[in-house]
Amino acid sequence: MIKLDYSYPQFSELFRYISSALELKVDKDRGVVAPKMGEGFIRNLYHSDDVQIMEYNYTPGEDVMLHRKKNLSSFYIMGLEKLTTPTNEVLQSIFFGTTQSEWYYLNKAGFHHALLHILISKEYLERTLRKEKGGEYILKSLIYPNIMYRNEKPNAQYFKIADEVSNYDDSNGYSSLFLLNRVQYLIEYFFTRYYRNYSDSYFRTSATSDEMQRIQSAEKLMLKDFSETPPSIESLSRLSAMSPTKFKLLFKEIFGLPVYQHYQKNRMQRAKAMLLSRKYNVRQVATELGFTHVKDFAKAFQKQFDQQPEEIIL
Amino acid sequence: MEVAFYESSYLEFVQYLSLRCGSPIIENKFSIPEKCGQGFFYAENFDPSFSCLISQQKMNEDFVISKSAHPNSQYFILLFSESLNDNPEKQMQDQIDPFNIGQHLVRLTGSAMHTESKLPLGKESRIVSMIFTKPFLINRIGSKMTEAFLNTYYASFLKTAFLAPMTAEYRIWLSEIFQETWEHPFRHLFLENRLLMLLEKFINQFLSPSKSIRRLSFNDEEVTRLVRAEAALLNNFGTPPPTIESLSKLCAMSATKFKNDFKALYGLPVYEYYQKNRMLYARSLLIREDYNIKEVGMMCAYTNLGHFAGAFKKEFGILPSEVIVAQNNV
Repeated sequence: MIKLDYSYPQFSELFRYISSALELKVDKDRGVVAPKMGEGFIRNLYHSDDVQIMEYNYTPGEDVMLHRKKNLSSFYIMGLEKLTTPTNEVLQSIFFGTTQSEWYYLNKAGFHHALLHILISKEYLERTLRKEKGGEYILKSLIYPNIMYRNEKPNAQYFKIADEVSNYDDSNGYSSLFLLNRVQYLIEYFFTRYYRNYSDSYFRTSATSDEMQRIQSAEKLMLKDFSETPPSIESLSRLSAMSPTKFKLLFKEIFGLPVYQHYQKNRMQRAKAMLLSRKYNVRQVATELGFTHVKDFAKAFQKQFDQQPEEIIL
Repeated sequence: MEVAFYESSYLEFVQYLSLRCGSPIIENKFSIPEKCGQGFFYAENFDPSFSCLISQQKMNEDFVISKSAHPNSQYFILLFSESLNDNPEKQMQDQIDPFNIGQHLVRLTGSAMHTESKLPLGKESRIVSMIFTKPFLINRIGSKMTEAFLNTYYASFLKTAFLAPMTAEYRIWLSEIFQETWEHPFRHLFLENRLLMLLEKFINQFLSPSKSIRRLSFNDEEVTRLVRAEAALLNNFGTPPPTIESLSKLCAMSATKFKNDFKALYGLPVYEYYQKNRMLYARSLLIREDYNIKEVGMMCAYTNLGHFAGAFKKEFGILPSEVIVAQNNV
């Protein structure tokens, strides 16, 4: 395993460091991975005070462990990641974090990594968001950036734009407009989705940011695995370090529904998504989501969507 | 009614309009009082070098916005105009008039020329227009590209307007602007991004006009008719598209000539162009998350959802469900 430890906030420095550590053959902003280390390239696509872009498009020959150490500078990092496993399975993810926290990130050997990392200066974000109606909410949320992307699922729109950035070739010369347009669009899209999904609850709730974070992690735990019986309110409230009564109350304020109704709603949405993907039949979905009888599943589904599960597949 | 326009800032223009009509501005938006017509004007100054005007209107009398030449200052005006509820047959006799708003046009003019924008009585149309300066261009596209832009502009268009047809890519951004800007939690960012996308597409087209899209010429009457036929073609995706016969009749051309000329102007054969626009429309509906796949399919005149899914996949490489699943996945 190759281990890379760094704390550079600037992508240009990071690019130089990675280039020498992975023995890249560098031509201007683009470094080609040497055959003994794998294949592909890494690019430092764009650099300004406001935003910087790094693109990784490579398959490492052995595992590469990236370790970003804490740095006191004020930058946020948004990442769009598309991994292709050796069996051609594609995994997409999104993250949003800050250079002020420590991260470990493993690039596995034999997996193709198509990563787009955008470094955003705090100053730029504040300048941009201060003008906006939804800006205050995002600026507050940025204190815990991990919460922001945790529930965000990658969708086709993100990766369409990311592909445009990767396919970008600067031979026609107007790089900054093209790249900046797409980066700004990705930032806007991410914040808008986050705002639309969560701001309502934020303004309704009396929970402090800290309580909110605890309840959100309890919620995440509850929705992690639908195949088993959900955790009890007692255990969830203990996890959130509050009384069951307070937990139930705040939960409803934040998510708009009582605990188990919220659970059931998400379980059924998961069912719908699985059915729509057409990779599972109704029986498999029911089993996966912890129903012993398909009939119970169908009934619950009907209740949620006013439709039979079979109708989704038609 | 006629108003003159001196500034290179649209916000001041809208303030002036509101003063003249005696109707207040709320958050940079001015609603047209009933005695003058219906609709609104909205302006935003992003910085001294970049300003925009967005409006949708139906006036009770002819309304002319004129801007005299400013040889001493240097800025450009890029205007996108669309006519709503166009009745192509009624307009068949009109020539393309670069200053008549309410046609499906993209127009570039500059500070050095006198321009007028006519909003004809009773016609509903909408405009997105932006003013940008040379420093803005240098900042956004670099000095080399700015040079190329200025050379192209001054070589042919210093005294006349550059006109281009409205195409699918422009339409999507324009409709997003009109649908979402005022309710959007990040209004400035949202609007700026879409304006810059429009500008990017335009600069691309402006600097390579020879490719597939040819420049519209004012007195080319045939082009005028084609632009109208295009509007009729894309008028409503909820019903089957007009036939080639009816479109070519509308253009007073033979079917063969119509098909060839359409392709020369818009870069694609008639129904491929229609299909591309229809799929872009479907995609924009899905992304908004207000409709499910079945509804979107119906809004795009598909009776068989399988066909819809297949056509969608052909255009974008993914199924409509993959747009929705990825978004609603919890």
